[in-house]
Amino acid sequence: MTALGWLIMIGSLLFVWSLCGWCYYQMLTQKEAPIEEVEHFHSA
Amino acid sequence: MSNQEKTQEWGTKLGVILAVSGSAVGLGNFLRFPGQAAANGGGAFMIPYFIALLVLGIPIGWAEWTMGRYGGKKGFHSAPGIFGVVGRSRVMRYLGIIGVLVPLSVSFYYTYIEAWCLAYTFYYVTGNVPVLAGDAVAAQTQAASGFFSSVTGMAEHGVISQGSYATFLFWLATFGVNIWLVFRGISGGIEKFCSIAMPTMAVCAAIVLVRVLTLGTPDPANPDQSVINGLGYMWNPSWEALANPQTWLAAAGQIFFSLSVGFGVIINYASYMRRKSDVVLSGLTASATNELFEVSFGGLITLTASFVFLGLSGTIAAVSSGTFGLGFTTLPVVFAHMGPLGPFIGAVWFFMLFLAAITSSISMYQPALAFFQETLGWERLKATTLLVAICLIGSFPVMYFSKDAVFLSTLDDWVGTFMIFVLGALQIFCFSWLFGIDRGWREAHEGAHVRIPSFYKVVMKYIAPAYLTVVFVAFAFRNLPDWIRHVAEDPVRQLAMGLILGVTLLMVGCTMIGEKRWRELRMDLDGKEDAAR
Repeated sequence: MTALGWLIMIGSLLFVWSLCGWCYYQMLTQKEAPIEEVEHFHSA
Repeated sequence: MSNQEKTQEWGTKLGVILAVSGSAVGLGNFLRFPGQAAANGGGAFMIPYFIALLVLGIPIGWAEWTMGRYGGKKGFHSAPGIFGVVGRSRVMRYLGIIGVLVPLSVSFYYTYIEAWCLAYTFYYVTGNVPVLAGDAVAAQTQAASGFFSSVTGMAEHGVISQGSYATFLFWLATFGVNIWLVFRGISGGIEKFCSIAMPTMAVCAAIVLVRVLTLGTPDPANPDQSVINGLGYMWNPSWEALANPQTWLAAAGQIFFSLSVGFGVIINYASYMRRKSDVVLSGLTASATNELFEVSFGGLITLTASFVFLGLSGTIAAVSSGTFGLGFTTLPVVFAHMGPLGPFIGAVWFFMLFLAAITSSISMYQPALAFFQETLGWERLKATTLLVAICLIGSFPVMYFSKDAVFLSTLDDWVGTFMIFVLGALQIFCFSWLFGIDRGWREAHEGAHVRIPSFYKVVMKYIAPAYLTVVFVAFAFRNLPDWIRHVAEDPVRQLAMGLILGVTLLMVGCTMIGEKRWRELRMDLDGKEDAAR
């Protein structure tokens, strides 16, 4: 396996595990009643 | 529908994520992804792959989650109902039928493939897989191929007439479990099962992964056939592949099918979410979970194990043999080389594939069940009976016309591939252009704790639809002429097309009945009530 191969493999694994970890962390630490932001947009 | 039906919703926020992830994680994560990557530049494939994830898969997923929850707020759980209220038109309502046609028609053959996985699990547990450890690789491959053919009926039509009635029994059991789980409802059936099945699947995959990564160099006569070199086969980049448009198309296609967007499932599942549920985080989490399984397990197990025991030429042959060849012919040969632990690993592997398949298949029945309840106004039991009847009519020809999986592959081509592109394109167009990107953006962020980066507005309105259109046109250009010719030449394929047409006409009829019901119930089926916002 080449150095680039290692880099791509480890980078890909880090990316998916980090994304997953961040998502589940956000989900598990969410408060039940989020602050609702009211943004006024013109309809498309 | 009874009041009990109206209050169906997910028990927890984790529950819907595991259910959607379960729908997405399937055989393709473990068998299709590694083959696609290896054939399209290895590690270099990950660049177009992750670009497609960020630009195509995740944004179209967000659109589908948002549309589903919005439709659920309006009392709709079926794709026609949701498309009608989001797209604010009758035309979109009837085009939404594709959102029921796809999952139901795919279920006709997917449950059969699921039964293969259950059968292989059983045969490994009972020691009846005829791939012998001491034989030469060529003999093992022939034995594995013959076994696969006998289990699936690939050699001749009529798997039962070939003596493989056991496969039919496995299908019966598999189908029965699917229907039982779906009948138990969103929370009591699907959510509860996925909450157990998904972690179990992860544990099974981890067991196989550890076994594969600790193989070292099992054959001293072939020192190049090592785990490290096996990983290198998958991950070493061939940068020239990036200059080939086929690589980008393959990556986009893999992401699209892997995430199960445009499948009619997410839009149904999301409709059972609470009004203020966070669809942004839920959609991202479900996609991330799918990617974790795909990259971590699909990317590290399948081809590595193949390379260690079969070498470069054997692995190239495995990749070119496709998903079924890799999963059901190559891997049994690999497990036969794993010594006394081989049958155990084989059982764990195929049980994991079975769990991956069943969490996907239950998601295919649920949209159709919701559709029949919602359009016809039937109670759950009556709608389930109708669903079972249709599935029996659809599944039997898949099992009977089993030679070269001709019926199966026709359904997979036209519904499981072509129609998914169509539905995905309809969804993003409906969300970004008919519902309106500003309104959709506001709707997506209702209840959200995480904000979508603002540049995604441009992605969802222009880039994702354009990217999907390019992929779809290229795919159609490459495949449709041959597919059409195959149908014209083969009566069995024509029968499959007839089945698709028949199911479609049934759904058109149900939608017409549903329209009338919804107007009588004064439901906002054309999305006029919020149109002024």
